[in-house]
Amino acid sequence: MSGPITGEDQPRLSPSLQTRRLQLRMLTNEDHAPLYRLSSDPDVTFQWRFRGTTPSYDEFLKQLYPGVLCQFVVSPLGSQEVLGLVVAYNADFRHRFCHAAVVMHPRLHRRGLGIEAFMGLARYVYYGWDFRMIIMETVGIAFENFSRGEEAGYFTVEGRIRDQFYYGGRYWDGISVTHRRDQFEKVMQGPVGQLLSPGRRVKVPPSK
Amino acid sequence: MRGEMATGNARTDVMSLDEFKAWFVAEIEWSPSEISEDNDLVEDLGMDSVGAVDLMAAIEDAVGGDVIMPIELLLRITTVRDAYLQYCALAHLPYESEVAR
Repeated sequence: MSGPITGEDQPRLSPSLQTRRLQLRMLTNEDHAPLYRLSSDPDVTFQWRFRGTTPSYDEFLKQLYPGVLCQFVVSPLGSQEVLGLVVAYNADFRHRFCHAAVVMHPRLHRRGLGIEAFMGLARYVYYGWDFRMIIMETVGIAFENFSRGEEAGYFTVEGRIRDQFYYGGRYWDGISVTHRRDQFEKVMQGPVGQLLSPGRRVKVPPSK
Repeated sequence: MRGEMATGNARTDVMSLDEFKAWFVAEIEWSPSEISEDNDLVEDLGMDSVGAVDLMAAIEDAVGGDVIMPIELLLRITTVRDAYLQYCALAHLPYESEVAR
């Protein structure tokens, strides 16, 4: 393995679950209801696992854990507010990869916080398992939120199923992307490395 | 010098709006060659999540002092002018460790 993947100058003996603005924390019972509400948000539901359907609360909970390697609630530093969820699932230990998914509250879309949360998860996964890559399946409408990442070297688009998903009066492509360990290490040299590094927090006065 | 965080005194090294716009065009890779303060970053300039990462990192670097752009400020940014205002706010806010307790 080449180099530390902790996002800090010195290797750590335990993986950090803190990014620059966010913390990835264990899912608790108190998080279930906010996540259920998030799963049914009109701006999220068609792009997340339930694809617009409305499972019962019990069914939602049943589907929250199977196949999961690790998953974390995304919260701001110093707060328990539920901003989203990052999940690594369907791990294949023989071929050394897993899948991952990120869901964030719609008000945070196109702010870079989904990338920050994902990179925090990737750091944890690559630290704890000798995986070669993380695979993400996404829908074209969501992919538009981060499509420039391929050019920037964050990931590679590996496959595209044209017109796979119906949403908003049209069909959208299903897109498979891989984020490989060497890509993680490479992008850590740029702004992504800054996303995972600690910094100095300012005191923000409340809005008037 | 820009990037030196003053403690206790107002900073005098913060960019003007015109300087910020010139800095934006020069530093932000996805920026077009001409921008207006009224441009919506997403709708007019095409900023996506990756672009937002670039912009926040660049603003943090411009402020200096290894300061973090907090989520509260980040969410107030829609236009170039908003980005400038939050850059100014970030430059003038005290660090948490320096807030009187």
